[in-house]
Amino acid sequence: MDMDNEQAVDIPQGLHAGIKVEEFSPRAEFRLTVLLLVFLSGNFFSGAASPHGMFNAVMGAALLYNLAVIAIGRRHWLKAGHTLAVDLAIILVLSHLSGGADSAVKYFGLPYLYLFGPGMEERKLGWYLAAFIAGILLLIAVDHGKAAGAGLYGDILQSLLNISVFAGAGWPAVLLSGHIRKERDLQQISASTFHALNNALHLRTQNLQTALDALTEAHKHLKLVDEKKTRFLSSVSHELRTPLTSIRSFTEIMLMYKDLDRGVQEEFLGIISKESSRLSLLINDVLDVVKLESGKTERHLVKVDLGEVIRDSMKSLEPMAAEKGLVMAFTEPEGGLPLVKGDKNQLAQVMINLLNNAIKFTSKGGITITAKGEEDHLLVAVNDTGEGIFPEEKDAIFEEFYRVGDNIAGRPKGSGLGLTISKKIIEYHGGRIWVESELGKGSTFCFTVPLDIGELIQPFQDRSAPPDKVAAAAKRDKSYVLVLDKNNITRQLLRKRLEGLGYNTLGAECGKSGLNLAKEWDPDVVVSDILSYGENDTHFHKGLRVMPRTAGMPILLTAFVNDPRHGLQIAVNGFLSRPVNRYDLMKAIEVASPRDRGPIMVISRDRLEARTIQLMLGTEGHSVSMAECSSAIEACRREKPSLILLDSSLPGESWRETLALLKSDPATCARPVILITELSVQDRNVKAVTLGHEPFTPDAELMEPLLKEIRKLAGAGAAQAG
Amino acid sequence: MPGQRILVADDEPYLTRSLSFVLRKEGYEVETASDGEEALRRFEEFGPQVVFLDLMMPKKDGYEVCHAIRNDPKFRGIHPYVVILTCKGQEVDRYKGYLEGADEYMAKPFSPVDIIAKLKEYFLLNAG
Repeated sequence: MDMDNEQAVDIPQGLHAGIKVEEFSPRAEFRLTVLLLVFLSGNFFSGAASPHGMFNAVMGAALLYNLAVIAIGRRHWLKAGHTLAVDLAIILVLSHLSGGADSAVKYFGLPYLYLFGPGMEERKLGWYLAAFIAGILLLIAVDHGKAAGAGLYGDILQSLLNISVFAGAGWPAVLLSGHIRKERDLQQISASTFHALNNALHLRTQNLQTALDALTEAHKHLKLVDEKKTRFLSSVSHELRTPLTSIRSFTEIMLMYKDLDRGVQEEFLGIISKESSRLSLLINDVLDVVKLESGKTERHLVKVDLGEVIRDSMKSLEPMAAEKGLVMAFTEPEGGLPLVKGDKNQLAQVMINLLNNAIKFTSKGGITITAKGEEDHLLVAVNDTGEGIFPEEKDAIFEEFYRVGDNIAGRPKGSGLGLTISKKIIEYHGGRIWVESELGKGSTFCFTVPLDIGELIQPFQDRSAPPDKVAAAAKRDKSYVLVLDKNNITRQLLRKRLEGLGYNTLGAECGKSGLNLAKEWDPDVVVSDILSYGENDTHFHKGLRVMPRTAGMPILLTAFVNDPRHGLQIAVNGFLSRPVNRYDLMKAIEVASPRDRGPIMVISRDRLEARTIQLMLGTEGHSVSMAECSSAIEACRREKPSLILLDSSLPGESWRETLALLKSDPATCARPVILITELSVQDRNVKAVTLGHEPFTPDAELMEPLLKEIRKLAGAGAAQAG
Repeated sequence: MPGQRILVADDEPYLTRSLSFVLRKEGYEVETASDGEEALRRFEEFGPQVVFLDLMMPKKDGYEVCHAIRNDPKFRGIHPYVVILTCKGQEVDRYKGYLEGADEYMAKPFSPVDIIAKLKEYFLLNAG
């Protein structure tokens, strides 16, 4: 029974698999039976013993078997009730064969009954008593019939005596057998429960051990961090005290001795000043380290041309290099460096640190800077011809307050934090910094910065955590509307109008600044002139959609045309995205609802596109005219189209001019115009606002459709809401 | 005060400059050293009664120099007054300084006034 090994793992299974009925050993049974047979056969054949006495003994032995087994502590030899009954049945048969028929019945009736009686399984006392009484009645009946007349009462007495003996022996045996079975079941159940519990405990212990290990690990780590912090603090304290001592000493000296030479005074003041700057430099650097470490540095991530950063840094350190007679050279690949995404000031700080170190530790020769794009990152290397770095110092130099040449007299001064700061900055940018050096042959400090691969999401910032401004935006009481329009007057007019209605407005004249404002202020709605997206029509749009925070920002597309001769005109009745498809085309026409059945005029420079549109419209029963940009006005006047499709990619400002002319001409001003654009208006958060097609005056209610949309998206203005 | 010799050992040039300036101004004879080994050399040549030792110096630190002054057979019979100057203000360092045989332990930033006061007291008590 090595259950320990068998079910060491799975608990639920163990509950069943654990139950193994402890069967009575067949060998012991066999032995007992043989013994009995030998004993009985001897008596049977010789006729020596009285069958009565012999069977009394055998019966007693059989019935007391279980008790005896328990008494000698061999519980695994216990017999189940039915086994015992079979034993007794065998004895009964043998007894019958030996000629003691009546006595066999007399002796076996009762135990036989209560062994095979209905109460056998449950071992209920009531059943037992019932069997007992039945047995008595049976015995009386048998004895009465057999020995009527001769010693009847003596036989009855004898029977009762026998019965009492057997009952006395049998009762506890039977009860015990039930008890034993229950005990055995219990044992089995408790064994399997024990194993299940044991397994559960084992598992729990393992889990606890794992948790404990993790905690120990975390504790160790925290302890290390704590030790590092303490070390840092003590180093900072040491580093601060040194310049402070100088400042204090020299100041007191000057206060103590009033008769100092002017030269000495100047020398001391110079030292005080120098040490003060050292102190403030140190404090700044310490704060930098602390901020970088806690991740609380404000970063302004923009596209950075590292070439420019390198050149600027070189310029600022030129005098220092020149003083030592060192030459700095920067080799840049032709066509400039690929842009990286980063904080320009921080990257400049790294560059200045590295150059500063290179100059400090180089006494002759020069400093060479190389930079090149490699796969997904930019590699910058600053090589000097200084004394080099011991191999064992290569990692240590990036540690706080580690100074190369600690054992070299007259070591250069610095905060001892430059490389630490540089390392942290580079790592925050997702890059790597290291040094390659050979003693006596100079060192090369290298770092990498990931390239800007068009992703506008800040790579190392928690994306789910909204910046403070967004949280602030949630609390602000007024809605923000970002107005993006190239035309200054249009933009101002719109903003003024919206401000009047109680909105906060932001203005941007190009996609780039618009994008920054959108990121920063998280406006509720963007109103954008379709052509204010800049050279790349879709830059603003894509830029907004790429960032998770602004991806769902609603954009209202408008087409305002400001013409000095005719005032502000809102001129477009719909938009069509390229490539034009039949469904969108029909829908746009339906929305623009031309008043009559005149031809539809297509003004496009793309002849193929114009032909396609003509075909599409032709199959729908429309007549179509086509015109070039230059002859568009003429054609419209002549043909009086019911609708005009205008290509927005006409060269320069010509579509605006065309539109302005169409709108200022009484003959064409009432014709609806649909603008064909590169911009996708399929985006479900983009809505092209269809505006009126009447000649527009600045204060007319024609702005209403736009305002209606804004109200829908950004709520009513604060003035109205209040 | 001729004959009252003081050695100042510190790797911070401004500290040796200020301390030696003040001490000279007060009339003491002053020698300076910028590392541990130089400090021991100067100590042997110069035979100062008072030694100011910075704790963190190149080559040999303040403890080592102090230990040598107290235990080197060369310096048997000489018992200078040793002051350890340090940025480390922790008790442990202080005890270590005393264990190595330092007489005084001064934490930076200290005031020259305190130092002069300490010296005057020392020379007054040990006059002759």
